[in-house]
Amino acid sequence: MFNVHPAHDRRARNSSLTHPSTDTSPAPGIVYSTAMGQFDIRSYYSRLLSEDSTKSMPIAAMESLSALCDASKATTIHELLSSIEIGSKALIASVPNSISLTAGCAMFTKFISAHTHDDPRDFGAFKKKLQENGHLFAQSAREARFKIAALGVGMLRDGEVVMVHGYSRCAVGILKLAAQRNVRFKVIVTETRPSCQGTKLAVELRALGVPVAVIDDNAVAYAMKKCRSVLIGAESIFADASIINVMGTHQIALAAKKYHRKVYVATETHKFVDNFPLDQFDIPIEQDVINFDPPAGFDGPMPQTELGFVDYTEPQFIDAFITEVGLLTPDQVAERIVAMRFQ
Amino acid sequence: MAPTAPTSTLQTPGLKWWLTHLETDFHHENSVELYVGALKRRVIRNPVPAAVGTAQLFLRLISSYRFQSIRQLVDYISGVEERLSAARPREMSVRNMVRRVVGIIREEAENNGMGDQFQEALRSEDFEEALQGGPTALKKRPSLMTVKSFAVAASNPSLTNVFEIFSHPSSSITSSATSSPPSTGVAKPQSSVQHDVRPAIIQDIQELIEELDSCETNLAEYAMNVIHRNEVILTYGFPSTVQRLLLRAAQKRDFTVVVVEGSLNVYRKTHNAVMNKDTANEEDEDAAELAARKSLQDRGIQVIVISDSDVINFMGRVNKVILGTEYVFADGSLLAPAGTKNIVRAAKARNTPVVVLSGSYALCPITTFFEDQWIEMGAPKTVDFQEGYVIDNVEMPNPMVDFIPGSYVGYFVTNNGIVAPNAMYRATLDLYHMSECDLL
Amino acid sequence: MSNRKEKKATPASSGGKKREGDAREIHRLQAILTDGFENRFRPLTLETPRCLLPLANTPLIDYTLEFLAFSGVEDVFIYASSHAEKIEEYIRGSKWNQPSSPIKNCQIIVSPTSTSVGDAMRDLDQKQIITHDFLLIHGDFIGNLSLDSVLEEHNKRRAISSKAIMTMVLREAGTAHRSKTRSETGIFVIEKGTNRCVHYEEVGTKDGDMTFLPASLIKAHSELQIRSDLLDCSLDICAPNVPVLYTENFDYQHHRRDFLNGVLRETDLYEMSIHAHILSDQYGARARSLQTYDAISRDITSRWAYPLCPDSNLGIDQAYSLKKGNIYVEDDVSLAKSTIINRMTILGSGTRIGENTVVGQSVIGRNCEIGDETEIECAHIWDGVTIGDGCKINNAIIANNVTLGNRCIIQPGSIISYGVKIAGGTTVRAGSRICNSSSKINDDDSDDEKRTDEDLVGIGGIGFEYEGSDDDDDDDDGLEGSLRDGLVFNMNHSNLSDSSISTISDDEDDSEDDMPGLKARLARSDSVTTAGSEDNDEAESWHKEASQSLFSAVEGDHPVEVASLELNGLRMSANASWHQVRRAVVTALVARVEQLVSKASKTIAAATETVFTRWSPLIKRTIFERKDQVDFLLIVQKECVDKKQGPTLLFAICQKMFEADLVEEVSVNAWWADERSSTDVGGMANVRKVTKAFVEWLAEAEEESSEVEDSEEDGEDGEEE
Repeated sequence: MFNVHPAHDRRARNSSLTHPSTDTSPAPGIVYSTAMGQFDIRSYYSRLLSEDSTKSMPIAAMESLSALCDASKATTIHELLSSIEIGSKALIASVPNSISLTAGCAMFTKFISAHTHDDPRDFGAFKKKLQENGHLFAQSAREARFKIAALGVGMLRDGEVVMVHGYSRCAVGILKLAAQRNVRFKVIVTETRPSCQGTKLAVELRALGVPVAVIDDNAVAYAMKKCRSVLIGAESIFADASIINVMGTHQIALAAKKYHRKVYVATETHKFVDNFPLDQFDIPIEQDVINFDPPAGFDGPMPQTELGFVDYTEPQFIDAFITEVGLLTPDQVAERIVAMRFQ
Repeated sequence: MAPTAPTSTLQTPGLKWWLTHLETDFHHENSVELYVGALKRRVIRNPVPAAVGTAQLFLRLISSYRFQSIRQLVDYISGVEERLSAARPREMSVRNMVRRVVGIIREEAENNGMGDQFQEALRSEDFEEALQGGPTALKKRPSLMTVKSFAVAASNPSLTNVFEIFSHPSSSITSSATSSPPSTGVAKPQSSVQHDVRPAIIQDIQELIEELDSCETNLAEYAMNVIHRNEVILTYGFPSTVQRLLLRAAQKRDFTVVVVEGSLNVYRKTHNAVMNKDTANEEDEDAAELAARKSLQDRGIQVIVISDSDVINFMGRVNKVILGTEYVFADGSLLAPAGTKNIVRAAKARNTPVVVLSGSYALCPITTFFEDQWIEMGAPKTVDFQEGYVIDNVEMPNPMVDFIPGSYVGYFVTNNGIVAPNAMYRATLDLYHMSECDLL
Repeated sequence: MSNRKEKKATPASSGGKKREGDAREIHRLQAILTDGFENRFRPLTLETPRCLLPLANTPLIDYTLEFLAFSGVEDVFIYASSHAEKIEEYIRGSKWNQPSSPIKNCQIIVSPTSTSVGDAMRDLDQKQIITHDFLLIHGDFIGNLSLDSVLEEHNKRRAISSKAIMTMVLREAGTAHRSKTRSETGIFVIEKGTNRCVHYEEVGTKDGDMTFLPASLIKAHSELQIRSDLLDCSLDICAPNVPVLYTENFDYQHHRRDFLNGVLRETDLYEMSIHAHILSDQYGARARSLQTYDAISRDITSRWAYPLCPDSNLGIDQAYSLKKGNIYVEDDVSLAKSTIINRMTILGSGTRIGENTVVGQSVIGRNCEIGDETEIECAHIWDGVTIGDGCKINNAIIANNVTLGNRCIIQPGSIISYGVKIAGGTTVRAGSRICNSSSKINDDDSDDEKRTDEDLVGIGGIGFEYEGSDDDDDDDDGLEGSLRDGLVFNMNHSNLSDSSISTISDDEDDSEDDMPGLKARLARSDSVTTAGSEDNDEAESWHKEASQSLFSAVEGDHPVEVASLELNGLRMSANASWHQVRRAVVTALVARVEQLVSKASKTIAAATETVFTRWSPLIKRTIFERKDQVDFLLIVQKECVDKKQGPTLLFAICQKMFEADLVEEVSVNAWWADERSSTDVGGMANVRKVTKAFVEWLAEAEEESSEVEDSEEDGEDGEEE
């Protein structure tokens, strides 16, 4: 499992405002340095995020690591690889409890080091190759979202009503593309309190001319019969094709199952993680949701972390994953994740 | 006037007509058009005839087409496929056959050291272009040739898209994943490309056609695995694949067969099949062969015919349900003749295992969002046309197939063995040497 | 397939392959495709041949050719008469002319002088094209039936006897079926077992619900089926004898009415037998009138003719996809967010539909622009039509390139032909036929001057009313026949359709008529065909009886309805023709006028006025078309020949009838010009000398009827300068 730090420094993930990470950890700054140069991966990372609010954390992380590769002045393979590892660890440490970030970094590392053992003596070629790979990977990760949108519009046709929970960039990409193409569909959006991501989505979609109904999170089971399918994103996808997503997803999935509505998860493949939790409370995230002894002054539900609470949904509630490699069933996803081990 | 009455004859077009045409009148452009028309007009109408017709067509197309490079050949085939699929989008065996042919081409290309050329032919469309296209861009079916589908060679298929970037031509530093000798495609004189490859391709296609012809026999080989002594087997309609399998099993085992008569679309055929009579529609069956075939009853197997409404009553006494199917999708769901859904739901309610026989032409490397786009609607049959007043005011949809999710199926019997529904994906991709399915 | 006697090894590059030395000849079935030669689709067929009119966005002839293609026919001869060049052009540019066409040999035979199937058959015989059995089909046939079994049966019969010359394909369709032609219901009397047809009647030629069958039929056959529930596909497999028979009987025009009837009646002479093949499944129908056109369109949308459905995309560049509720939408159709498309609708590509518009059960062609808030129901809208906002269109046909302004209302049964422009806010009344072309409409001068009838199309519109011409050969091509076959004639929806018909028959009193069918059915005038029966003794005695009974009614001043009833009863009992009825009426009325003049000392004018005004409803009931009016005048003239003061009488009657709107100027002129009227024989020319003035006056006068009254008082002698 991943290291978990107490919830101190967080950053709001899905709101349009990004807070630069304030590093108060006693470690000597997350700075990569060798005798030859310094590269502040953390600040690079935060800069990326603040420049482009649509960028997701894993992608920013990959780009940062790629930049790290480029900027590295290492002279041996070992040095290069270990500097990447350090950088990766630094990023992960800066945003604890983010599984997607962790997974992204891990995958990046794995990717770039694959197929690089052809000719270990030629460091120049090796480094060049590494950099190339890094760019490729970051690029394809960026493009993944657009591919998902292009594939996913197929699920929306004339007269379709889809229910959406949370604000997942992949899922929203699908909806926006369909709206641009004048497909006549309607959306039921759950408010997704307390972050109210749903309301934000509703405003954006209405601006594109899509009829949107916003419902209270409590009304999900009530409204389930009025939609044909449910579209959500995911933070991570585990090896048995279960997912972690914003709190409330599990509820929707349960309601959808009862009413035989299809649940589609729109996600990129770089969010795949090669292990899986056993239940809701086994997930590698610490969150204080159920507290019988709330601190003084808090009468209502526990305040959410800046990353928001998440819950875990089992694979049997999911009908298909819309990924950039196509429409995959949970079995297919699980197969892929396991096969990743042998790369 | 002639002494005898001067009568005239008609040959209704069908598979035989098409094959005769190919033998006598083939022309690479006209025949394709003619085939497109034949598909649209439904003179070639079931999966097996469509598969055979397509394979034969491509055999001749490749024989006669002059190509300078693999890429050219692949482009040409792709173009023809688009037209055929547009004519009958729901007859997926057409597309399946083309996929097999392309797979054959790839294999042969690699065997001849022209693997790169093949890779080159597979440039996927720029996604930006697809995104920016208007509504019509959406309608374009994904081109057969996309990096995703074919980019990876057979030897070490990587399963995550991420890693497939290696096959991108731009990464020329890394050798392609094949372990074949270095490519010499460029150095080879152009004109000999087709001479090298063509005969092998043609031979492979002929093998493919043989495989199609012997599909049913191959499936029947599994008879002993599937049917055990004294079992009661239930089947829907009485398709010839199931018939063959049962006949094979009847050689050694004793069992009972319950045949569900089927919906209005199907019941006449069922009756004829049970009585081992020649059905006028089965043009793809040789009359002689049919006559020679003994019926199950001749082998001493008891055959009971029941109507659809009786199924739930019988299901408790049935050990196994064996079904034929039209098509199977990559996720294990299937398109079966209308009325099958009823059977499988009854089977599920009683925990009766369902076995589905599917020949290789029926496996479609396709995943889909909406199953109803695959359902072909036929002429209304519930009410006769004579009831003038009723037909004026009543809608009578007549779907000819049912879509059945994979969860209802116990296992599939395919040419390559017995496969579980959630492993169907793998089996299908292996058959077509693809790494991903198309999303349609 | 089961018919193939040997394996065919030679390529079929042309029809009629005979293998030398074979005992049995193998010959592919050839098809002869003819026009229906009827004028029921006017004004749409003024410029376009009927077989090229689109039904469900595909030209009719394409359906027929597709049917032939999937039946395996490889030789087709198309007989084109009207607008032949258009047919030629179309076929030449279509997929049927490509080398990849399944129909290997598609020839067009242009025959501009053919006006009926009979003419085409005679031409065929002359050209000696056919040497074997062939398929006679019409260019508006739509079906998915399989010819195999039909041909098999036919060949079996032929093998037994070469006198079995024709097999008709008929489809069971129940009594009141939308796809059956309403105006002619064919009654087939079929011998059970052999399926031989022994008698054929067309109801609609005679009046009433009843028809008469010769008793000899029952005597000759043990078991007969009398079927009125059959839909005639007009699809026949004919032996080569058929064209020969047509040549021998040159008055055979209509295939069923004349040929079939003729052959059946002369069984002794010819010993030919005709058989029926009755289908109870599969689909086959002919779009021979507007009503069947509409019905077949609905059948196609409901997929009865599968695989001939819009989403089979049989046309070369068609790209329809099927949606729930039998809605077919082609690529590139743009619908607004609030547009509602209801079931059984077809939308062609390039069409744009606006907000809050509701379209249901309609066919909309390509590149149409439909505005907001419009309602379109059960309409056929062809290509390139622009419809404004707020329109209501119901049960209409709107042809290519028509423009409708905002807030137009098109009432049921309307036909708006090519290029018409309807200004905004106009209501097109039910049953209107509006066209924009001047080609070959009418011979009448008055109509040629009308380019645009602003009453009809609104200010700023372009178009005028199409009126059916009188010169149509076929009796049922008269306006009434086509109205009955028009879009909205439907027994169930009585209101509008009845009123549109009753305006012609002008009958307000019909409700009291206890002849049930009479109100809803219009009789065809058959003044032409029954000319012979005038000389009949029977007819004479009937005439006497009828005119006497009517005379007593007139004399006794009975109510008009009662007299009318009586007259009708007499008519039906003797199966008299309308001509005879008119004669009786004329005799009675003229006698009454004379009576009044002599006994009650009224002037001729006054007497005529009294009588004819009073009894004009009765007269109206006997007159349906212009030629009936002409006929009436002729009869009057004849009647007056023998009368004292005949000329004056004639003059007065003419005037009165004109005044009372019983005859139109057009008819008067036609009568005047008619040979039978101007001939010296029988004193006809004489008796009309006086009336000459009236006719001349008519030619000069304006249409105001007030002038007529003036001239009437001017003189009983009628001499005017």
